[in-house]
This record gives sequence, C-alpha cells and structure tokens, in this order.
Amino acid sequence: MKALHFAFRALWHRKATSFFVAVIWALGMIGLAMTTRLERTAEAQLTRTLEGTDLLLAAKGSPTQAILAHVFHRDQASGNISIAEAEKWLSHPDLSHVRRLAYGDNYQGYRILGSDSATWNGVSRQPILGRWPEGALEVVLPRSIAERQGLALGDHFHGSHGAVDDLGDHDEHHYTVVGIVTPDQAFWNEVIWTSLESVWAVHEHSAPEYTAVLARIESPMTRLMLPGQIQRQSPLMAVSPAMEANRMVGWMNQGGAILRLISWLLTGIASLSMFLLLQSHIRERLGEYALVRAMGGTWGQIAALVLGQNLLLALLAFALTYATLALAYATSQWWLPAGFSLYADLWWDLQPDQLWWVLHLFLALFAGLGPWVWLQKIPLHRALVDS
Amino acid sequence: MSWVLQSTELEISLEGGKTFVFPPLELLPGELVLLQGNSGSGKSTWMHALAGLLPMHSGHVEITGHPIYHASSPTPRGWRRHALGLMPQRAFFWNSLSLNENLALAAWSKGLTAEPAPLGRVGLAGKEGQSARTLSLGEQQRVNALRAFMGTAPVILADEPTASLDDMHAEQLLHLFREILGDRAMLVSSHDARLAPFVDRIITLP
Repeated sequence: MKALHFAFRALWHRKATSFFVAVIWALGMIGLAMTTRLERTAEAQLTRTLEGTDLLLAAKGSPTQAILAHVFHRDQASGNISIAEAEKWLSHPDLSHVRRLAYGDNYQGYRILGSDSATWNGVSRQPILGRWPEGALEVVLPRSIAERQGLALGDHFHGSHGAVDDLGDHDEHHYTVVGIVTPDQAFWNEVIWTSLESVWAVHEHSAPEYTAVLARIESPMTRLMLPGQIQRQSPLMAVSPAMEANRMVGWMNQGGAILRLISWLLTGIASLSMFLLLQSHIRERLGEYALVRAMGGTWGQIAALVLGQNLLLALLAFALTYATLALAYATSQWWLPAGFSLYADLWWDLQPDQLWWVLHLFLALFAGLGPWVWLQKIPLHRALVDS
Repeated sequence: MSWVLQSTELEISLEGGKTFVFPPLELLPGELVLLQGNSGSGKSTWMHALAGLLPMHSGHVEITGHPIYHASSPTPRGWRRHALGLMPQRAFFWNSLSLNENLALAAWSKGLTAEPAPLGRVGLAGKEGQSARTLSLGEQQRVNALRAFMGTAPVILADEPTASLDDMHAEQLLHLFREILGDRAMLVSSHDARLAPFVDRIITLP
C-alpha cells in the first residue's frame, strides 16, 4: 500500500499530464464499453420486440422500412393492404397472436395507430389509468404524450391528416382520451392508440384497409415456408422479422467492429503515452529512483513504485469510463433516438467488459515494463554522481 | 577495539578505462573518518565501491555481522539495506513527497517497519509536511543525514556532505554527525579542509 501511496503522489505531482493520459486511456475504454452496450441494447431491443412476431404483412416495399414502421413505429408505411387479401392468409392454422394495424392521422406529430385488442394486450406496461378503447374515436395516450400535450382523461382533440402535422385537419372528428398508460418499451411512447374502427371512421370516404398485420407462427416449418409462399402468391409483402433482424444486427456489428478498432487504436496511443510519461519522469528523477535502489530497494519495490503509477492511471481510466457510462445511462433520454431505450440489465452487465479489463491492465503494466527494467540496469554509481 | 568495516585493497575500473586502486581500510565503532583528496582523486568512487554500488576487479569488503562482499560477485542480497547508511552528495528528495513521506520512503526502501526518527531530532520540528524544496541546503543535508542513519546499519558513508554549505552550516552538520553517531563508524569524503578539526582520523587520497 505504501508503494501505491508513493506512486500516487508521484502522479499527483504531475497531475495535468497524468490526467490527460488517463483521459486518452478512458476514451479507448469508453469506446469499447459503449459500442458493446449499444450493440447489445439494439440487438436485445430487436429480439425482445420481435419476440412473438414471425410474420409481417405489409404493402410491397423495403422489409427494413416495414419493420421500422410497423414494429417500432419509427418510419412511414409504404402503403395499405387489402383486408380481404390479408385475411385470406390469416386463416392459416399455424398463425396465432394476430395483430392488425391501420395507420390513422396524427396529433401534434404523434401517430394515431388503429389497432385491435391483441396489439395493446401485448404491450408491456404499467397498469392503465382509465381503460382501452371500446368505441370509435376513443384513444389511449402514453403518459409522456399526455404530459407534454396537457391532456387528461375525458379530454378531446382532433387529428391532422396523414402522418405529419401539416396536411389539413379532420375538425369534424373529435377523439376522446379514455386511457393513459406507461409502456415499458420506449417506442410505444410515440404512438396514440385507437381502434381500427376509429381510423376507418375518420377516413369514411375510403374503403377500410389494414396498413400491416403482425402474427406469430407456431410451427418452425411454416415459419420458414409461409413468408415466401405469400410473397409468391399474393400482392402482399411478407417479411420474416427475425431474419431481417439478423441482417440488421449484422450491419450493426460491422459498424461496431470499426468503432472497436478505433477504440483499440486510442488504447494503443494511450499505452504509448503512458510509456513516454513514465520514461520521461524516471529520466527526470533518475537520482531519486537510484537512491531508492542504493538504500536497498528491491526489484519488487521498484516495480511497485514504477508499475504502480501505471496501475493507478489505469484505475483512474476505469473510474472515468464507468462514470461516463453512468452519465450516459442517466441522460440517455436526451441522446438516444426517440423511441429507443437502454436496458439496465444489459448496461450494467460487466461480464462482457472483463476481457478488456484484463487486456487494459496488461497493457498498462506492459507500458511500465520497459522503464522498470531500464531502471534496474542503470549503473547506480553514475546515476548518483551525474544526476 | 574490533573494526566494523574492513576492506582489502580494492581495484576498480571505470568506464573509459580509468583504474583506481584503493588501500586497505578499517573503520572502528564510534569513529568519524575524513576521506580527503582533490577532485578526481576517486573519493566518491571508493565510497561507492565500499557500498557495493560499483563492481570491483579485486578485493572484498566486510562489515561486521553481514555477509562479505567479494569482487566479481553481486552485492549480497539485502546487504545495503542493513549494513550501510548512504548519504549521497545530492540529497535526492522526491519533490512529490513531504519531508516525512521522504523519510517513510527511505524506511520502506530499507525494509524498516519502525517509524522514522522525528525531524525534531535534526532541529526541523514542524516542517514534516513541507517539501524539501522549501528547505535551505543546510537543512536538506540534515534530513539527508537523518535518512542515512535510519535503522541499525553499523557503517555510514557520506559523500561530500558539506560541499554547498557555508561555515556555520558545515559545522552544525559535523556536530550533528558526532551527536547521532553512537557506536557506528562513519566515513565522510570531502575536499573541504574545514572538516579536519571535527574528525577522529583523516585519510588522504593522492
């Protein structure tokens, strides 16, 4: 412990440069830690959200856009689909947990989503205040929208046409707030729920249509075969969200690999800086170190003094890294894209960090190895006379 | 009286080919010996050879109660920790540490578990938390002496301890040596003629 105290005081004596090296070191670790966490969060969000959704029927277009639009409600739909055509496939005996969606208008930029009870029954949430829609033009708001818009149970509002706010109002149709919920998954905070009938009632001059249908496929074989069959035999686009999710995860992993490489480059620079800082410090204070040896300091004691400085810098970098992670977690609502959220269990799971803990500690000690060995080799006589 | 340090003739070769041959030496308990000589006569080299800081070509050094240090063999393990106290010409204090911490570092280097002697012993009470940079050269040499006398080493080697001191501080330092010497033997190298009246014996290098 004494060695660490002396090492700490040596670092404190040149605190600006020490802190600078620790910050570079931490930047590398933050890059690694954040990349891993964001990848795992995105993967988990995809997996957890897509759980129970093996089939997505929508208008022809991009499968990725369809998933973003109809599962995460973060993109525009590419069109509507015929109810008759969709229902033809929905009678398949292997389908269950069928969720029908019809996009309505928007209110202040928030999408009014026509859906059936299967959809809102599947939303993980806190107990609802009020109730789910039972009749036309009844809506349920996420608490965040209710608070932002100052709406409470029993309030009325009218939507604007389309998914954006400037395409004209539907003044004659007033929605009534009958429920307020707090969903667990952040993307539900951007959606206003209503019944399918509400959407069709507002657009009474058009034939009723679905925008998309989501369903679970019980049989693994059907899970493989049915989307292709629908694609071939109908005008609908049938997407297997799990497969699309795998592709998306693959893209994310490629991006993550580049970020990891940059992080390791930063770590390399930090390691070199640590070596140079220590080496220049020892050269500058050669007489002091030589005297420790001359007084009888052992190899182990010199190692503790020298490597202890790098160890403390690495520990400071660890502290900076986890402080940054805590800050990032606490402020995620400001920097994460709307509709995404972090999972505490994944964010604070330290198990995947353990490999780079070991590698960083090894690098920190390795960066001190050269100066330590050099210090053991210097002729004490010269160091004490010439320093 | 039996010696505490005995050295045979020592032959030392420095980088650059310069060779020194130093005469046999014995130091007795309680003895303060001045090693005189001009610059370049080899005073520091002899002291460092006696301390095992320089490889010897021939000869050996023995300190009572400790393993013999032979030429062409490494300094015995832990020898300098327990057999010798060193007072280099420059005090080499760690500026990052307070005076007390510098003493603690020395104790730690020597493997001593006891608390270092208080600075009051050398008239510097109250300055424990200060950096050595705040002390005068004379005060620094007193702390340097306190550090060298730490532990129970029977021999103290001091290299040019009065080199930068004025008469008053040089005299104070010599009085301090005498005061804390006890049964140890001390060899002081210096070209400073002011030291002669304060020592028991003078060895002059040509």
